[in-house]
Amino acid sequence: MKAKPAHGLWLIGLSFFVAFYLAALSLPGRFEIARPDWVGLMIIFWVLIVPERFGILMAFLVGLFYDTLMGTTLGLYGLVFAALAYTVLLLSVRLRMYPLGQQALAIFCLIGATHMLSQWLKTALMSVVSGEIHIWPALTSALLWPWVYGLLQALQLRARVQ
Amino acid sequence: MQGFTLLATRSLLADWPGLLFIAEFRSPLIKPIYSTGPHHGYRFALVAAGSLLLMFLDLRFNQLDKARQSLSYVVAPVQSLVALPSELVKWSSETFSERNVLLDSNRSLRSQMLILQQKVQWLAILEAENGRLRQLLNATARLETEFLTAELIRVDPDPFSIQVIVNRGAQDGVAVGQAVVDADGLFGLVVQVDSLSSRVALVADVNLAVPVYINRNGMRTVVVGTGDLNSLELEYMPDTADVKIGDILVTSGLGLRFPAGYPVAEVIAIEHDPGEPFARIRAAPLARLDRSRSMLIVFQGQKQ
Repeated sequence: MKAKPAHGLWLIGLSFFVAFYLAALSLPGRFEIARPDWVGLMIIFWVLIVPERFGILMAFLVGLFYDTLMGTTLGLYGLVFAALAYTVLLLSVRLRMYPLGQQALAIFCLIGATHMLSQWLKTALMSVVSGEIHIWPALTSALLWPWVYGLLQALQLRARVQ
Repeated sequence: MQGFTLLATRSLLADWPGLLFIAEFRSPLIKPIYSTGPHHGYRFALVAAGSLLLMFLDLRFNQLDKARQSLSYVVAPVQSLVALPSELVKWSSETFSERNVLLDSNRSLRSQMLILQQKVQWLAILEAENGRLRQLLNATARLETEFLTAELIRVDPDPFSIQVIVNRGAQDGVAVGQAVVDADGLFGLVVQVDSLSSRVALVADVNLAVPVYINRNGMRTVVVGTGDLNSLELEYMPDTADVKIGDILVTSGLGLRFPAGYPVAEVIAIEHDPGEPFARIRAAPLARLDRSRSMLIVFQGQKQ
């Protein structure tokens, strides 16, 4: 009884590097409000595709790095992304069956809930400006999902990530 | 069924082998995708408890700063990559700019330097005189301040906080709580130090309040950030307070957080609403919060 050998895991690291870069890139003025949650999208994708390699613990680690990038309290995004990965794991059977459009709808809800959770934690831990709508990142993430999914899946099949 | 119980017992501690285990039990036609189960709940509870503990430790104690600094080494390439395009533009505009443009800027800088040098001559005389007067009054001498230059590398992408990242970190001796000034006034405060960079909250950040006095009459007050780059607010000022539009607010150094004597803001609007207990006074920050690229980190009375 041998476990499947790991293969092509560098693609996961590379995708997160790109996602971190896109998350840290400064956008002009009001576009910042609508920045897609790139790291969240990557986590959803990899949890859906290779749950045996990328699960709650990995999402937590990615969250820790995201915390250092964003300067939030260490562990805040760790918790948020672990919760995201957990929810995706619970829904994964259904999510895989959905056509891309319906998947995007689910992504909308997932990213929206993620942002809500992170905002709750932030208001609990530090003072922030609130009152802005957190629906925009969820909306742009959902709109981008089919392309992100298509591109990453093509890359993932080529690199034979397992 | 047996496989499942085996899985549940094993996956409490070791997760990946457990998942692969279930993959072996299924027929090769079905993809090993049925990874939901009670074990995820346990693992998530564990991770959630861990991150809550981390957050608590990070907020209450300083021990985690070292861990954060070592994590930041991994994130540092991303930060430098983000800064790369603007660095390239700066480098190419310096390298390929025309000769007469360079000569022009050189000339204007030279004349500016002359003016500044003349002011510095005055400063030396005034400083000596000030020292003598202070001696006469038996007052304590002013603290010498040292500076460290810093360059902005990145603006915080979070639209709800006003913070920037500068290129000096723990390796340069920067510490949390140091004030940052630019050429025109108080810029902000170092709120987090990584190994190669540090995070500066600008005076307009909602988390920041600066003790100041009004330069004209010496009245002490506190100026608070609003989250808007161009406006700060004076809190709890009575309607009868002697504040006029155009007053300059200078750091008072009370609270020992900011060094005394740096200009912070200029009063731009005063509203007296009879229904409110205090006047609404707004001030515009003097530091060019949205334009400055180079700034100074102040070491006040502490050795590097």
